[in-house]
Amino acid sequence: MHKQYNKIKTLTFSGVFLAIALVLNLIENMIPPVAGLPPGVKLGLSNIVVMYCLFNVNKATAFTIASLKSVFVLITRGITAGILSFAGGILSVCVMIFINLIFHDKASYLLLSIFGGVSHNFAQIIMASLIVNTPMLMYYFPVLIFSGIAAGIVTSVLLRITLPYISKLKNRL
Amino acid sequence: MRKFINKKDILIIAALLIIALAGYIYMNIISRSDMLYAEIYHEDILIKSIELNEEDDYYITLDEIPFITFHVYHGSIAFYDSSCPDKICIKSGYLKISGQSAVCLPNKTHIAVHSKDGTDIIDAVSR
Repeated sequence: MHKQYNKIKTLTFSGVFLAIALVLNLIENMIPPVAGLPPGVKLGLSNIVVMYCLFNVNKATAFTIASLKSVFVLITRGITAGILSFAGGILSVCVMIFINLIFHDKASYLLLSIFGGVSHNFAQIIMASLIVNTPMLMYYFPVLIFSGIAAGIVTSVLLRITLPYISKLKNRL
Repeated sequence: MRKFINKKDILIIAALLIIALAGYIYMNIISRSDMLYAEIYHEDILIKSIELNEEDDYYITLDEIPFITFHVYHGSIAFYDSSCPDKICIKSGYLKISGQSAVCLPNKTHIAVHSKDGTDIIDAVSR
């Protein structure tokens, strides 16, 4: 009985988390591209949701949300964008699991955000260069690391602000 | 409770920044400025090809594109003045790494920097 209850609870929350992730993705796409930066860099706001699910629900949920998000991107923005989003999402979750493993479960949210964001963009750029069939775009990497750190800080701060509210919600039900 | 920041994190971030900086410096050195040239295209036709040298510091306006002024400076080139409303081309800054390009869509002009030995650091841009 309890097991079923938990399953339903996880399912419902996953749906809500997916919706939040999609909305965040939508919002961050509406920001006009900054003139100087290459177009591959993104704020990675939906990473907040994935990161939360990875460490406060379970790994399967995190992977599911990342995959479903890229299905959504596939439907709305085409197959190329979908493949890029999938690559970025999956690698990002794998890297976060890996970093967490290295640090014996004590990696801070800041570190996880940074590595999650950088690896997400990194995977997208590598996938893009595979599709376009050109040698790797070395020029991007310094900028990528730089912006990944900035985005990671933003993401982890946002997570810190919202974490207590989400936990309260989960405990109430 | 998982922490939000650890002391070790600062070290790791610093290491990442150093790597990024090293990569950036390496790229700027690899793109040797004595082998760079710029191409100015108007409506996809190559109008002019300019050698970029370290001692350069001049402004150039082409007869075919009277509304745009370029600044050729120390081995780089940039849109300096343009009649377009957004000035995105000017905001693209100075191109000095082989493979970089900038475009002014309203004026149908774009410029690109290439390396004479054919090796460009930037080959394509993903979107």
